[in-house]
Amino acid sequence: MKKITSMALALLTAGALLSGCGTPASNTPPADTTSPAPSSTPAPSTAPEASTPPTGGERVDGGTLIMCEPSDISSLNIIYETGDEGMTMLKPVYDPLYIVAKDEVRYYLAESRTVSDDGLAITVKLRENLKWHDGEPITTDDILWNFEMRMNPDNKSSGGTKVNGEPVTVTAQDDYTFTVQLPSVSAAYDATLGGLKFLPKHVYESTPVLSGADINSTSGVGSGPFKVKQWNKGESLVLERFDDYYRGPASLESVVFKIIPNASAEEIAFQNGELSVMRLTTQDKLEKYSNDPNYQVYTLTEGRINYMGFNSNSPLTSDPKVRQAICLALNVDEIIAGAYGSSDLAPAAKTVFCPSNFYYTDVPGYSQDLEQAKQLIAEAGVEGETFRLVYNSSRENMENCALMIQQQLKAVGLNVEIQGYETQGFFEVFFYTDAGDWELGLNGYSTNGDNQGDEYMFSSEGFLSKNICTTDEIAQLWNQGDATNDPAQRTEIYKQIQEQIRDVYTMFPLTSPNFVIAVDKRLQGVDAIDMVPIFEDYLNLYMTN
Amino acid sequence: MGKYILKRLLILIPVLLLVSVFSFLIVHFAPGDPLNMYMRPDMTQEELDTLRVSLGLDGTIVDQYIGWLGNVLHGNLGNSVITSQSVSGRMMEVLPNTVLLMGTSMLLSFLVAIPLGLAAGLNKNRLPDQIISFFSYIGISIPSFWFGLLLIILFSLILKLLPSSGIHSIGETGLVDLIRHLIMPSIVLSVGNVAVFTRYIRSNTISQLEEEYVLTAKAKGVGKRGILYGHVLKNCLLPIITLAGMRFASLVTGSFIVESVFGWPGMGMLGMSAINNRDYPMIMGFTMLSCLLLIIGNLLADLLYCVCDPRIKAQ
Repeated sequence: MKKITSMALALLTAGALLSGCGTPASNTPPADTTSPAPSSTPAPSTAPEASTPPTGGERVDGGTLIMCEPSDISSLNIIYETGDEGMTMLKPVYDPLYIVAKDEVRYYLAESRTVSDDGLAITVKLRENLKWHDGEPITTDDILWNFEMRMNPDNKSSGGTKVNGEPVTVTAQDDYTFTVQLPSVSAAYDATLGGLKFLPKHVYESTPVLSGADINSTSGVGSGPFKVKQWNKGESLVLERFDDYYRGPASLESVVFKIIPNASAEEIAFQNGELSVMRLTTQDKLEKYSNDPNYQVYTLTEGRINYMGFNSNSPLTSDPKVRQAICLALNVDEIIAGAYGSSDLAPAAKTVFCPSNFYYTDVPGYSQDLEQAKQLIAEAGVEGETFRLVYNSSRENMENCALMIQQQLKAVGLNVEIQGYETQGFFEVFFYTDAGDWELGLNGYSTNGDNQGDEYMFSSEGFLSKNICTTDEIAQLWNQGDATNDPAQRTEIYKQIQEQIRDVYTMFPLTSPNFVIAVDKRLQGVDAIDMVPIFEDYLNLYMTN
Repeated sequence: MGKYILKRLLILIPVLLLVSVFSFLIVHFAPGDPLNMYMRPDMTQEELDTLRVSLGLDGTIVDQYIGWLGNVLHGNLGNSVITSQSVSGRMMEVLPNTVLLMGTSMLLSFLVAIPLGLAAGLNKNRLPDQIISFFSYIGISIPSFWFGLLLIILFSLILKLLPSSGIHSIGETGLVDLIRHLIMPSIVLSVGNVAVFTRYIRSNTISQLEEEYVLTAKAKGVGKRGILYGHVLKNCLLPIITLAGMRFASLVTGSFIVESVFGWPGMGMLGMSAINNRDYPMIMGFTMLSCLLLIIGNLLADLLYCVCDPRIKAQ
């Protein structure tokens, strides 16, 4: 009996610990919601060659960074791993050519790149000391083969090989210089090209079709600071430092990704020291870890916009008056307070661009005006009507947002029925069917950096075209924005896009969420680059004692 | 006997066919399209159409079913539409992990449930029976994810005795490490089974003790221990065969929840991922394997019954 009592007490203690009672955060870095100046052509900068100086304890070389993902990658081939897991887990294994950031270009495999005056040719110079993880040199021969391989439809990975539906042409000047010729101007292609990851030709060329090939799961030879040591499918991916890395070896000795599908189990593993990093998605957790001296909380920009879309196929929301009324009835700050707890996790969004978008403009958003909303509802004759709101139940806080919207619209005489779908079901309903059987839908999309592919999303064939009404003028503006390389012109065009989308009341911007993580305090260099997926450059990371 | 087995095996064919039809319909009618996983903003409609054809997702649902069935009849469960890997190959990769976990938990369940069930039956309505019944009800009611998390908090976070997830610690491959990882998920999976099995065995023990052969044995002067171990125990264990047969499929299908909580890379996690991604061939492969093994498990149970109890064979 005594043992049973002891066990029960231990379990109760454990439950109390898990529930975690904390006081409000005091050391959480503020969210970056400032309005950046309009972008000019990013000035080239040299690659980050060394880690930032220590800010905590004394720097020690070595150590293991352990992170977790909810599901595993399905191969070690980066061209097939374009989901969140692949982008994060294989990031240390494959380096891009360069990353176009707002105010600089960070060069990795490339030493420099030049965009021709007419914007139709990008010439890239590779570094001369590049090596694959098996010691073979990386040359333009590899780059050309990668383009050729991607252009083969059997390989099901054509990303970066086309502009406006037409293929690009790639030619090599020498072992380290190549030029990509575009069929038409695409300002965003520069960033697309820079972000491409490449495979070693000598490893893969003997496999005629890569899609589904066994070599995708066995090779994993890359170009990044860490190489694959062991992949225990469904369980963990173990990476070890690549000592011949062209920018010098990383400080960390190894990086491990563990697969933990359950969020509660993930938190226990983090508290138990089995993980170095954990994402915080609720205010409770944010406060708890902000006040724990063993952890440091970092707020990074996620580069997304969460919004509520109006379905143009529904008779109710096809009326602009109704859409306007709903936009005027909502108060984003209250929605955020109710759904997230505070704006630390998700600052309010004003436009359909997030602040980290190169062309974000501080255009005025919607302001709540209940009287005008009620008047518009009366004019449209929809008082007491029931609106169906769909959302992705797999996304954190979406349900809470839906409930807050339901409450706020009730105040102006509109009933809202909410319906959650898991991811695939939601996408089908939101993007791919046009039955008009819902009126409001909560979704999000990445708007970080340059507007790569966004013109397609808003075009007549794009993802949003089935349900979310957009105008021909907006679609044309998107095309114009990508078809010019003049930064001032692009800034003006994208400003107009933000204003026009606001004025047709088709997308109500809700939040621009932050990517907030709690990190084992010994790990430093975490926020050297404010980028998601986290840790663009693993050379910045190091342990302290 | 041979005729009986043949008859049962023949029944297997229409059953599997029906299961495949219904599963195929349910899976395809669920909202979602695996093609969504491949879509990129710069893809043209022509490219999407080509991709749909290459993934075998073109044509009507009837065409797709016939195509799938044709492959299955040739021994090919197809390839995953998400990873392009062979469905059977992928299942074979994770199958040993699941068999290990489910086998251990089933063994543990029987080892605990048999003595508990017998003890409860022998002490009907007395204190030992009431205590065992109390814990059986708790075992049946307790949600496995909640119990799993409690064990992780207790043994990993507080006592720091056991690892919280996975099969091996990083860099470890030894048997001891494997056993340490196996303990908690096996216990969680066993708790529900032990509770159910105990109730079955208790009930059967009580009914067997009221049988006339027990009275005869008593009349012949056989001792209590002799009656229990010599006669009652054998008959009490007959339902175990049924239970084992019913659980046979779970040996390979695993547990979605427990594998997820403990990060155990088995069939359950594979199935969950397939459903989330609308990976039709993988879902169908998983469903058909479960169905096949459930039927085979029941058939084996029936055959074992015949072997153990000649009266059934005579019928």
